[in-house]
Amino acid sequence: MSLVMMEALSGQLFPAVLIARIVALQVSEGNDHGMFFRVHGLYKRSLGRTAPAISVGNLKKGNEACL
Amino acid sequence: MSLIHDLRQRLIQSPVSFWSADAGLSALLVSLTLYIFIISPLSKHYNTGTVLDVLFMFVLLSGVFSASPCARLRRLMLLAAIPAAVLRWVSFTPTQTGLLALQHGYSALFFGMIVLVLLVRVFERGPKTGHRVLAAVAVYLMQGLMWAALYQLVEVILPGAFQLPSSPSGLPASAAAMQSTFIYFSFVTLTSGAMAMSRLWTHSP
Repeated sequence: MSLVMMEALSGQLFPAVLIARIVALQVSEGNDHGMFFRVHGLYKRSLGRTAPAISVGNLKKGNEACL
Repeated sequence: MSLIHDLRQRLIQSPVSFWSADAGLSALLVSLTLYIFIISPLSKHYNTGTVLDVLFMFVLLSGVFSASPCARLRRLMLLAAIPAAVLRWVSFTPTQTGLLALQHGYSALFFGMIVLVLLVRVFERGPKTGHRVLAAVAVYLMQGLMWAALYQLVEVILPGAFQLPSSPSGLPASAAAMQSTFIYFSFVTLTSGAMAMSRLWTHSP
């Protein structure tokens, strides 16, 4: 493997890993304003059900099924 | 006005964190942009040697101050930054291969250290902030400079490893023009991942 190949590999992988990491941070932040919960709420509404107010703060044992 | 007042307050309250976050990363990005995208391409047509050297110093200084608030890490990075800066200002003849190799080697080492330290800051747990994005952009640009320095090191150790385009005048290219060529090809490889770089290719075993 030459230097050029290593550089090309790192140059292609870095943006991909960075985006994955930022999305992971966003999802794991777990607040009501997060992208995941907004999408989740839209999905619930599209099914014709009332979306419950979900936040990690009020998520207790037994309520995991809501997610 | 409130932004300037806010920045001044942060500078007064904690100068170290101010330079390691707010001003340091911005200065690093500005100097990197000027160095890579504006002054370096001009060196093929104009004599930009001194301007490039000054900008390189700015990149080194802002890199050391912005990479980490940890004083021990800064001292470690200075160990690579000072020889890189000193060797940059000394002009060598092409026959002094040892010193040229040291110059490019120290530059590559310094950029590699900055990339590693900033990568830790980019990927660590914590809130998503503007600093994280600035650091990610700086990492990407610094990677290009690191690989360009490594290519130059290879070219010094193994002359003829790269098929460089000849200058139109037929005269040997200046050091700044050579560096500009390596930076260009480094960024082409980094951004496009193009492996068919027939004009610039290291001998692989």
